[in-house]
Amino acid sequence: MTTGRRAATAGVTLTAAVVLTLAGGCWLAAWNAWTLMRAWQADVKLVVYVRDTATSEEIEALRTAIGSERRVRSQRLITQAEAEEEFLRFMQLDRSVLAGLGENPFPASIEVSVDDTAQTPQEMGELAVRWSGLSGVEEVRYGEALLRDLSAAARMVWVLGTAVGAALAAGVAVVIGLMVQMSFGARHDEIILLRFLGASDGVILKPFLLEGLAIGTVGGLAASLVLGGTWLVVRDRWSAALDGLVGAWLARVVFPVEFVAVLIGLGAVMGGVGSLVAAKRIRQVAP
Amino acid sequence: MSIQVLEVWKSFQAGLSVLQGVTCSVARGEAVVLEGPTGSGKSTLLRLVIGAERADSGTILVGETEIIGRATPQLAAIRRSMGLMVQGMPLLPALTVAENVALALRAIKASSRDMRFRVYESLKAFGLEGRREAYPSQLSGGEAQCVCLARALVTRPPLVLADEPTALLDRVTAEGVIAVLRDAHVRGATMLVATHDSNVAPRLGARRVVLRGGRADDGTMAGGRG
Repeated sequence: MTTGRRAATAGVTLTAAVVLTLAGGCWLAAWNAWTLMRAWQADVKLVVYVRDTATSEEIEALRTAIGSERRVRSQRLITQAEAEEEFLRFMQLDRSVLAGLGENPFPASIEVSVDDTAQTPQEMGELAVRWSGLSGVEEVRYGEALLRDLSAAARMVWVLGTAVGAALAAGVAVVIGLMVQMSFGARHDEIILLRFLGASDGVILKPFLLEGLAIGTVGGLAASLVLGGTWLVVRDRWSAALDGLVGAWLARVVFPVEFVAVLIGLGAVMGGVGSLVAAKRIRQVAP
Repeated sequence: MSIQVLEVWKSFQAGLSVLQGVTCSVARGEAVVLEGPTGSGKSTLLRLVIGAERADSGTILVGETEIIGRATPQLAAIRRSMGLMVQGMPLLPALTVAENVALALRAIKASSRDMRFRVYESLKAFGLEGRREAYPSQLSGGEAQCVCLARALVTRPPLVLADEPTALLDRVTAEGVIAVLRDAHVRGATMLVATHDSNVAPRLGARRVVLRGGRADDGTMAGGRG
């Protein structure tokens, strides 16, 4: 291999690594944002407010009816006294502020967690409507707007991250394909000679395909190292340095080990695809 | 493997036919030397036989395979049974002598071990085994020509086509080259050699066919268009 070709190969490998790093970064960010939003969604609960006039039998019947729903994961009864205590604790207020309000104004409620499959605006809305009609129920709330926004945001992040990542991965195939086409130019005489010697398309294509696979594999490996290193820095330094939501999110960012295999495999596949597409030109080369 | 050329016409410019209804044949195991002056169409005929050029009309059969009209990828199988030393097949300057010769073995998917042995043997036949690691730029014209022939013969092909194999060689080296070709012929290879050197045919023990004015004349059969 000449010095010029070696430099070109190194340049293309570097470019593939950079593009794969960007693509992998997009997917990693999308994956983490999506899992985080799913976790937040899991925290959204249905709250069944009980009428002040409901008897303990009615409340028990309510709990039985709610518990019979297969999508319910857990439920917790919050009495009026517990609701009052929780309010005062949350607002950091003294009990004296409630002095003028007469009887305990806080309604009793049942907090219901549902399983993953029911954590959609549609499913939770359907449960809310059904439970609103039960005897002793004042109303049912579940943070409709929050749940809808989280669902939409999770979907958007996933679609956007995947699309951008896929476009960048396709870019890797294009870059490697161009490199292979350049190789055709540089090795035109060799291809002509192999044609004279009766080499099949497979024999002629093999070194170009191997070149594309090698560039893609090395690019994927380099991208994995860069992203893994970045993840370690983010997790160990930045998450502690940043306060609030961003810091909390960074602390929860994960880098799955499988992701390394995915990036390397993707690099190899894109390299192979780029080579094969560019290799169409081989059939046009004839003495 | 035999060659049959029937009524083949070829022109590169309108009104200027290099071959004008050439008819000739090489039987299986036979050696034929195509003679003729420069521009008589010897090289063109060889390139037509291997499918590197397309004839305007006529028929060319290599074994049972019709060559005219076949695309290059379809010719691969038939070319693998040929040992070629024709125009347009130079040594690749970026490869060593051994790598250049090994290209022919790569084309037939020989094993690496087999490659090393056969490359050595092939170069040894020309006394070039010591030049295995040299690059073409470090060879003399005669040495380069011998390496081209070594590449053509390294696969031990049943059919050998060589264009001016002794053109750049001194007398001693030319004798050596003819001896190597004769060995291949004795082993059973069919041979078609184009040359303007009238000494090649008798030394090779080959039948002579003369191309002249775009027609073939072997002294016994109809040569070209009446």
